[in-house]
Amino acid sequence: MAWIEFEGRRVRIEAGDTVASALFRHGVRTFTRSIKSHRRRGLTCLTGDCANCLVRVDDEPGMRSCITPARDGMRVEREGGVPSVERDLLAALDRLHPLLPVGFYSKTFIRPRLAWTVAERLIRGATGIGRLPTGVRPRISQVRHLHVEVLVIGAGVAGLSAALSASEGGRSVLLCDEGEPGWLVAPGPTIERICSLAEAVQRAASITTLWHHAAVGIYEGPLVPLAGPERLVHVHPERVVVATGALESLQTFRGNDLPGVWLGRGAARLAGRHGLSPGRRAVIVAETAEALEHLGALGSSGSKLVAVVASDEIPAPTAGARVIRGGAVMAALGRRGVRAVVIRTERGSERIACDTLVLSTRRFPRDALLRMAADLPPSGEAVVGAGEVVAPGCSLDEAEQSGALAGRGEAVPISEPPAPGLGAEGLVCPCEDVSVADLERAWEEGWRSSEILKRYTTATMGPCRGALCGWALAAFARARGADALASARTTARPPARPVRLEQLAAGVHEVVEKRTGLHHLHVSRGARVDWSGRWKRPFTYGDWRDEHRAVRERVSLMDVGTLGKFLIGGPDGRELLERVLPCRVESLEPGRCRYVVVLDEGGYVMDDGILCALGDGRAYLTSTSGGAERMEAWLRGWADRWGLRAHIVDRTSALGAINVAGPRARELLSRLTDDPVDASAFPYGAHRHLTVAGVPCRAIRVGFVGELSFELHHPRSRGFELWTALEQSGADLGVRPHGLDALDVLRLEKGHPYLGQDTLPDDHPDKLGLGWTVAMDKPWFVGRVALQRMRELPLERRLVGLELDGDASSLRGMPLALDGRVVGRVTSCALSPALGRSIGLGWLRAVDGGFPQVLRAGSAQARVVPTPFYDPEGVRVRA
Amino acid sequence: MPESPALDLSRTQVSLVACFGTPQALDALEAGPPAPGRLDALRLAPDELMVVGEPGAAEDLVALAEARLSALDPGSLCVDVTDGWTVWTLTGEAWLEGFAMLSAIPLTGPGFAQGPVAEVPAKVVARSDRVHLLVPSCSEEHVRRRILAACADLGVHEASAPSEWTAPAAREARP
Amino acid sequence: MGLKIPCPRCGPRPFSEFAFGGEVRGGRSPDPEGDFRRVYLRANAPGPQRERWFHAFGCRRWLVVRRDTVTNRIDPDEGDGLD
Repeated sequence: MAWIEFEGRRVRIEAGDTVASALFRHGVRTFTRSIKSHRRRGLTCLTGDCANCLVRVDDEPGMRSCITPARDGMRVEREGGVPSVERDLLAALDRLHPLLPVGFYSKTFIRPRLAWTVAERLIRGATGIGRLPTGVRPRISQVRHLHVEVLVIGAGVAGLSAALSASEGGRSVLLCDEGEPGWLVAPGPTIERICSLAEAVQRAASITTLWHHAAVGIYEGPLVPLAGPERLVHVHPERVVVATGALESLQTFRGNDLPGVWLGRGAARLAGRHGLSPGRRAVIVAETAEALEHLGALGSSGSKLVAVVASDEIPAPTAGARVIRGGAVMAALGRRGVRAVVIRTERGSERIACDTLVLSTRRFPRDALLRMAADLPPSGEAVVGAGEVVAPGCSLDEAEQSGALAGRGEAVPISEPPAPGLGAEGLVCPCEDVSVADLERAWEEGWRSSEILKRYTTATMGPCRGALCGWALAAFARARGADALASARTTARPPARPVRLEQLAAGVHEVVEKRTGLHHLHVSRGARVDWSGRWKRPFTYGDWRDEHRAVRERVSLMDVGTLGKFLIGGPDGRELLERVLPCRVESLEPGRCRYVVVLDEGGYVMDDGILCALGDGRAYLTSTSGGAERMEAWLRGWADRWGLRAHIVDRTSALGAINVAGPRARELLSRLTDDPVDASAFPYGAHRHLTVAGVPCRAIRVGFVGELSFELHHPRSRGFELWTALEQSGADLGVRPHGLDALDVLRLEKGHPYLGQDTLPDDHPDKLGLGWTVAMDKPWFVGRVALQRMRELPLERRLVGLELDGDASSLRGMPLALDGRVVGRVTSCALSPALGRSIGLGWLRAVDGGFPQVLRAGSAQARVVPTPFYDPEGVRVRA
Repeated sequence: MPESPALDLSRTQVSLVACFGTPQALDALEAGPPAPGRLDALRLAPDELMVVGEPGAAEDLVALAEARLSALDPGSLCVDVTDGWTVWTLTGEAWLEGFAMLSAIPLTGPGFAQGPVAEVPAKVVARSDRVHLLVPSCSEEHVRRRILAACADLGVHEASAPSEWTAPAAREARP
Repeated sequence: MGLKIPCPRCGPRPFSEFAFGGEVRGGRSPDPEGDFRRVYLRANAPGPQRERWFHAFGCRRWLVVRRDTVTNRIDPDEGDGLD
């Protein structure tokens, strides 16, 4: 015996039960309450399209119980009522409807401003749904990619047939379904056809099937994500056949949302598959041939057929039910469920007592996926429909034929869906409690197209996403004279089926992290390692002030392996650099290097680095850590456009770099290398090939921190060896590593800007005081045109050095004010240990043709001073 | 007898030499007579060929490639790029399934492709029973963690011993 | 994901593997006005345009395609990428 727990009771489940059928057998008729008016809702469609059967299963809210297989031990609760769904006090809201007209929250709670924040919380709480379980960690889902030639969505008659014909010739086919073939179909000719086709599909070797995978949407590519129970599957098909079928229309009449009002196939499924009678006395609206099958299923389940409201073309059923021709349903009456219906014929209205109203009405395509694809040229060309989704009401043979054609990529006959008739009363959108009267009122107020009506009334915005109501909304607009565009159905957007956020996040769980080869070393030295752009880098190994002192007074090591590094060669390598960089390249002799900025075509500083001239016409270029990827693309792009043969080798990953900095750096280095490192053999502005501790290095004398520095670029695999040799050899010199925290202050003391922090995207070199890096007398370089123009204009903004009162270390980002007006911003600041006062960098706007000298940063005074602050002559770095 | 895991993750040690030159010169180098220590050659672009060699053979391979290439194209360039790449190898029955959890590159069998794997630009060398993933060494740890997480359901197991580069079968087509 | 760009070396790939490089414009102009137009102005017309893409996640080379900016239909471009 298998059971589910339901509101403190145990409910028996039988083989093949869904949660809905088990509850229905148990006597549950009200499954949920509507979100606005708290009206009772019961089983209606039994195909997972409407929102009337949503319950919470095992703490997961919003589960469509009509398609959720019941399993032993499940815990099921209804949601939506206060205090319960069965006895809901908030049902009084339904009677307050005149006070809460459509769009009322756009018109009320506007003043005071606080009113909306309070009201919104109350309103959301009053819906009573969507409470997420607390304390439950979201599951981490993965993504699986699947490449096929043909994807068929929907395993009904048309879908199965399409899969078979698509697989002819051995094409790879994936057939998916939200459930399993035939799981929604009552016994009858349809299920027999499905079973035989399904058997053929199982035998076909090149058809893969994925059951219980719902298509989330169709995206450009085409790309179709399928949400399965365990994973998200990204299907990359060359062609897609959408065979998602059609569903009966929910006619509009007063009470059309009462429990006891069924769509034809829903009632037939309950009766035929689950053996449950929808009710004792049934009235059926028969507009299609299939209605007769539904009649049969109802009758067999024990319902007494009281009346059949049949369209003229439907033959009279043989069973002795009363047939009403030319009739229309005016109202379904009842409070907790249907008790009677009112049928109007030309002779007048008639009240018929019954407890079940079955709407076997004309069907409308379930075509959200097709419409998404249609909005995506050119990918949409690869997506076609087959079966009832393009020809609603077609016969089984027609559906099979349609599938076969679509599977082979041939044109499929399409028939227009019927024009829906709209009653004068009743709910158009049951999910959101939007009635015909609501739409009329909105129309009166001037909202005159389906799209704007949707946004104003929220019709079609509910969980069914327009499946039941999209047609009716469009018909409403059309009936009132809106043109084709204004009465089109509202845009279909993903997801086509409910999908969990964790599924949308499937496969993407962390940012791509980059590390240097010395990462573990930093960790083992106790460093605080954290994000710096896309890299994990050490910020400090203990106290940045100790590290700062080591750099200024002794010698220190820093891992700068994150720098972009490029080897540029080839016959036109130097020519490429000459044209791309604003500095002079040709005049740089092998063994010399210089600081360069890289400009974009607008003359703005994009990146900076060091250019080293190597022998044989080659060069070695470094860039900032964040700019490396762009640098390669930038250089290659120009080489292509000018037809230059340049070889660009990205060395960023392959090489590590250790900066040995401090007054005793040379002393340390000379202990580990036989190559000459004295000032005359290796001056500032030069680079040399050194073998340090047996590791081959390119050593570059740089000046970023303002002390004697040797930046050792070495093979990544030998970084650990090199670092530990330096550390051990320099122990008596007091060598210690320094991280980004110390680096920030060291470079600030020299007035060096951090690109992106101290610079703005439209800073050209003059604004940064880097005009000296530009050789304007070069006839041409990237950015020259723009820079020339800008130099004709007065400088309106500058990066300046600042001296600030007190301890300004927390003033980063503080606006700079002159007489109460904001004229700039502090971009970097620190209390400098070397200088004993607070310094900073900031950008400053020109005021009245000049740059102010004294400003306020918050409560502190800030004075503009020249940079560098520390060792302005650069004596220490040139040692 | 313990069952072999469906999916094994291991490192493969190789040496890698990037050769840049004219398309014709690289065609010749790619097709050219086998060199000692040379295992494979991957054509990354018309002007770039990556020679795969045995571990430790980089210096010799650079010298040999330089000699051959400069005869055909004086403007050519050869660089040892071994340290720039890490080769993660997936072996076992589920290697193709495991790859599908990491990348949207259409891979149906043996061949070579370049594209995103675990969101990192990678070179993919697939054989009949395994795939070698060349990823930038700065991202090796990220890729390793992602492989283990994405393929957890497939029973991925990280091997302690490194793998060897598998030679290509005759004339494998690019997927 | 999505929109496929035909890389001449790697085949059609999702556009997320690429970085966009803008519409193909003329080369350097001898006159200042021409240069100004080249640097600052774009046609940005509805309809087919030649544009550059960089296959960042793949072969890391540039390619030129012809894309219709209205329909997003992308075709390979036979021309070279020269300015």
